[in-house]
Amino acid sequence: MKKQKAKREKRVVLDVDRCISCHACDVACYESHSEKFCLSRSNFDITIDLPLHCKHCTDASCVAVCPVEALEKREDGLVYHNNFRCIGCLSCTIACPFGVLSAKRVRHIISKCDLCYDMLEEGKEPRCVQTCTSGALSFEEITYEDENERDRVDARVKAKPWRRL
Amino acid sequence: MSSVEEYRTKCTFCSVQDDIILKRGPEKAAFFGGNSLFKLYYDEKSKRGLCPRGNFTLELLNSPYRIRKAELFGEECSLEEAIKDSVSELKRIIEKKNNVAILISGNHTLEEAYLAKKLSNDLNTELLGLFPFEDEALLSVKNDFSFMTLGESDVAMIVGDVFSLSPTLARPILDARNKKRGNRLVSLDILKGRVSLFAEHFNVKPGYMSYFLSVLLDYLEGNSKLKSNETFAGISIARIKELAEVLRNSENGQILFSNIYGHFVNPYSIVSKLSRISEITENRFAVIPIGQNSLGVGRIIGGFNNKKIMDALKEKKIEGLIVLGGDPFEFIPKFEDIFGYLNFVLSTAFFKGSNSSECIIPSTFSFEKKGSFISLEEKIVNLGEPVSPVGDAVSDGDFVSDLLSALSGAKVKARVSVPKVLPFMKETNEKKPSSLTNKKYPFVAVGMGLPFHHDRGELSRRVKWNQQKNEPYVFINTDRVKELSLGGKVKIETPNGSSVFRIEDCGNLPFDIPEDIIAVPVHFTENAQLFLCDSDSDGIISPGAVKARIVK
Repeated sequence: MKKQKAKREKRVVLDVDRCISCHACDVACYESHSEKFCLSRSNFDITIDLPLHCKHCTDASCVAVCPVEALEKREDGLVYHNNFRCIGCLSCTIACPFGVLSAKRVRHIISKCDLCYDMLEEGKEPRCVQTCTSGALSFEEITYEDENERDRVDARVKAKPWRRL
Repeated sequence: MSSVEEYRTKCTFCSVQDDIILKRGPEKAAFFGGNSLFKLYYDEKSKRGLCPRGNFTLELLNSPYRIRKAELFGEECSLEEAIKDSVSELKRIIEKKNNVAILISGNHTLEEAYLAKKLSNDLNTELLGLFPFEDEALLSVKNDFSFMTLGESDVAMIVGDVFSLSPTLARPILDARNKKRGNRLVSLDILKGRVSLFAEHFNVKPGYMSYFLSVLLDYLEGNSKLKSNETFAGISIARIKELAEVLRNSENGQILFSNIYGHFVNPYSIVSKLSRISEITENRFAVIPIGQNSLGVGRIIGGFNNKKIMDALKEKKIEGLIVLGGDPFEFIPKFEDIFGYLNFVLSTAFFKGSNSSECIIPSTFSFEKKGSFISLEEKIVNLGEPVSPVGDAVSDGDFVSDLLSALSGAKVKARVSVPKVLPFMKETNEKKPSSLTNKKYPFVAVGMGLPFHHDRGELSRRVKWNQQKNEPYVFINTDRVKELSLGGKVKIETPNGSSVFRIEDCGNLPFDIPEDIIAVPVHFTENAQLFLCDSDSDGIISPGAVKARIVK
């Protein structure tokens, strides 16, 4: 297989060994997104309570299922949610293989991480990363060795989509 | 938009004083812009971020529930009128040679503390006290601490749940633990907390921490002959010895102590013992107060006066009370009874609460005033030009200065010098405490701090950011709730009083609650009824864990 050029994208990465469950990321997100929680939380058992971020998938299932094209994959890698188009049908929350899209509607629409693109435009990191008290969240370049590797990762995600129904 | 400028300031919520960058527009008005209501910037230099409470800092500035006008007997009035009436009341009380007490919060600047001291002199009273009360136990310590050295520590011993009370200290502490193989993070507490998830945890029985530390201290000083089968305060002797060796062998260790309302019994003794342990083991020791500048304000006050004030209030020996930076109804237990006989109560506050003082002055946050603070690193931090206060809000320093001018006729200017650390008081001999639980009271009520209590309006037990009244709740062990067939609500009773609480799901905590503990988040004012506000055996006012029972 021919090797394609490596592609770099930045994502919010969580170090689970450092998260103290203080919810600072939640509040920073809530305060800056017109009082909408755009972060989900995992509650696997009593001892694990972690923030879940949108992975901004390359071939995003949520984008594919959205009936009104409220979700779009932008050129900069961001899976963008257009509030004015969203009808709150929750198809995306079912399609998301990571369960990060919350099925809780806020003012009839869903809430979704936008990587604080206003901060990115100013050369800063998303607010959740900036405010993280324990250094558990970082905004890192995810480098795939080549495009084929990224395709393989995407294929795995597609093959085992997680359903929350 | 060129008139918008960045202004560096400090977060108002705790003594860690994290940096924030505030944008301000013309005439120093706080700038709210972008596609969000607020534009909050984190100072990238400090790399500590902000805790959930800190993220609400800017919301506090423009909260619709802030007090914007002075009030006299429930009616809005001008600041001048309020000062005039207050002065005449205070003069009347002094002429009758009756006492006035002043309580000042640890969130004030050094200048404001100086002026409060001057006011107490002018009112001829020694009754000048610091609140939150639990911070008084920390005033004899000079912190040996810096954020840089904390991140380099090979051993960090944390007494109390620092990660819940000051979450932004988590990054340097975890950095230190992860830096090198063999670095240790040790947690000592009466309840598992957020630190314990990452540390070697020593769960000491509630009420026994001071005793446990005295055993550790005796061992370190070579005075004790411990038998291998003994346990002290729930900890085996082997673990005590191991802890002693860890502290002894550390090259660059740090001991941190953090207390909260209703948590540790005899915190002054604990602080004193930790101080001696740090000396013997040559580790650095620091205390983390609740108030932003409690160390500075307390040292300027220059004494442990809260006991005198509370005794005088109970014995009805006070006629006037001035509370700077808080609502006495929210932090003095059963203040309703005391309020009845006081002739004059003046308070300065940020939010409309249960406050029904005769005179209420709208107060300012630290980013709305100039002044200096003492940081955890024992440095003087100066805050420069502030943003403009809302409405008629005035800094407590300016208000007290006006009050002093009206009282004495002369303009008073604050002079600030580095205040001296108070010497340790003589310690009482440590006796083995008796268990807090008995047949009548099978539970122990323990105050606990949560890093977040943001969603329903209570940011701390002193500040409400909106007027939504959330139902107070407690955490009780899930198995115990089932065993006792408790419903959604319970009445918790202690020898001091009782309050009704909702039982919160323990699944919301990342750690278990022991079977005999009722963990009470301290940001609800209802908690004040449960915990003692008498002096403890150290002779200071510091409410600690208390025996309790559930009344169905």
